[in-house]
Amino acid sequence: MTEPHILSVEGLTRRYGGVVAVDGLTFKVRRGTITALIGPNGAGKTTTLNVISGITPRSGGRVFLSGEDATDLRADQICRRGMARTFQTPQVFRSLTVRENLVVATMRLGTTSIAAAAFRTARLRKEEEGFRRSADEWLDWVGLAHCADRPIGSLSFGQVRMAEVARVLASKPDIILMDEPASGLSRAETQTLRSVLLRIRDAAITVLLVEHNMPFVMSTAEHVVVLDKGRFLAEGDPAAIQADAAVRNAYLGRG
Amino acid sequence: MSAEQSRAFGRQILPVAGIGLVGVLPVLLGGSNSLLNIAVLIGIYFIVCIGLSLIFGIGGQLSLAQAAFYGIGAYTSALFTTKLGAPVLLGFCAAALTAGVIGWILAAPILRLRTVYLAMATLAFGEILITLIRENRGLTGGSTGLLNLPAPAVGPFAFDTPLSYYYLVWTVALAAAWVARNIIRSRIGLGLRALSDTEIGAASCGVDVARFKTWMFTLGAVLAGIAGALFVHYITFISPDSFSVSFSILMVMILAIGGRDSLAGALLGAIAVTVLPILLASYDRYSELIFGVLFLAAVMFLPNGLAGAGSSLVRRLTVSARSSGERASD
Repeated sequence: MTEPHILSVEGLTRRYGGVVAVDGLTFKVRRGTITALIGPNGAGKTTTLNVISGITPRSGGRVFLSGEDATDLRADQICRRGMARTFQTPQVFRSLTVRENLVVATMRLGTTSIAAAAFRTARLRKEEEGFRRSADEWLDWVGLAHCADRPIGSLSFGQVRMAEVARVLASKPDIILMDEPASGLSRAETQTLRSVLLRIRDAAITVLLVEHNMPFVMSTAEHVVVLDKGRFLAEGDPAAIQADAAVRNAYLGRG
Repeated sequence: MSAEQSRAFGRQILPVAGIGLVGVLPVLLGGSNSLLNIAVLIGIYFIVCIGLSLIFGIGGQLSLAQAAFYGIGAYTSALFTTKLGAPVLLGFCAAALTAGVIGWILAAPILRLRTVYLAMATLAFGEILITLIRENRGLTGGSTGLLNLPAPAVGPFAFDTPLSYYYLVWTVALAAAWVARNIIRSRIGLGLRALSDTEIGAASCGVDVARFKTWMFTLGAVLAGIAGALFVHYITFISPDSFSVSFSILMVMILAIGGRDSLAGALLGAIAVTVLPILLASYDRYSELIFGVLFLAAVMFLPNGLAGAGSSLVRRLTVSARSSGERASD
């Protein structure tokens, strides 16, 4: 791999009317790491994720995926380039079963020809069988194999979060963006999430997460990027960030 | 039998049973022409609603343009056969093609709208079309329409009796249902359900939302176009009254009564809106009132329509049969 940074964001800006939510933000994410994006409320973390993943249009700046320009791509095009994401409020498909939720996420793999679907060709049948099986493997991976046939709405909140993690994995991504994955989880569930994230990284998938839960961030991420008021404030390993005076000031609100 | 097994069983049995029933129904109806007329009409409604259940039932996009595409197909075939003297089967192909192309062109701008805005825009499209038809008297015959449309024929064999037309319509309907069922079962079908739940979630999973919606809208337009052509060559005349907005609303009612997220729902709904008014005709002045009350009751008490109520009844019966079987074996 020639490019050590899987994601690089250059001068990213997003304005809402007169409000600048993200202001000339530049940072990079190294391939195969867990990187956390932190900052006080309103720092622009979620907006940053939304712009990178093609959900919110940018006002300025550029986004590169593995060195290739990925600015202004739609969310589904970003997904096809190998970037998948989760949401602070899980965006799961309530009319589908847990397994079907994962099968939807395989959309970037194989054919989505309408003609093949309409005539249900042998190749399509075989392919879809394969997607169902790989969905089951990912469910097993996060400990939800027993829920595969259940409507996703019948799961507990913690299980829905985990199903959403399994769903991003089903798209075989190179990088995963996660928005507040630990919010609303019990302590035990947070521990499970942590071990799943470490296994994801060990499977050579890069993780970029936005998170409020500082103990979780400090024990899980290898690299931390701090935002304040839409701007880059600091970056470094968790220990360095914890010791950084500017970061403390931003969080505690001292000038 | 597990839920999965019973669903797989249903998937294998239902199509075979459906084809068998369509085959023998004329015998069961005793060859009565008036009953066959009703069966033809049900088949035509079913074809339109198969398309609507893909767009609206599965994809969640409330389109009121089905009447317009039904009319586009009907007029295309009528003009092809009367003005150009083309064979009717060619007229049917032209109907499907024209409706499909117009649907595809219209899809890109109109499907950016959602919910009630989409409904309004599709409704307006229908109104514009009706006006164009009424005002172009030289071509379309205006409000009077066109008379003496020929019957479709294959070589020397003409589909000019209710019985032969019944088989023609239902062959098309079963073929359309087969294609739609394949799509609903495929990943594209899952993607459609996904985007109707959350478009942002679906797009983030790689679902090309605009493309999926466009294809379903186009397919719905093609099916409505074919159904419209089948209809006018059956009644042998065409006038704009058949393609007003109330037809689109009737199609939505069919899905509301029958159940919007399955093909069985489209079929049951088509049967209900066709047969009920006939059964209620003896109540004379009150027939429409009773129909309205029954419609309200269906929407209020059967949120998933007749098909949903039927499948939950079957589920309950199999569960209670299984538990009583387990008790018996204890």
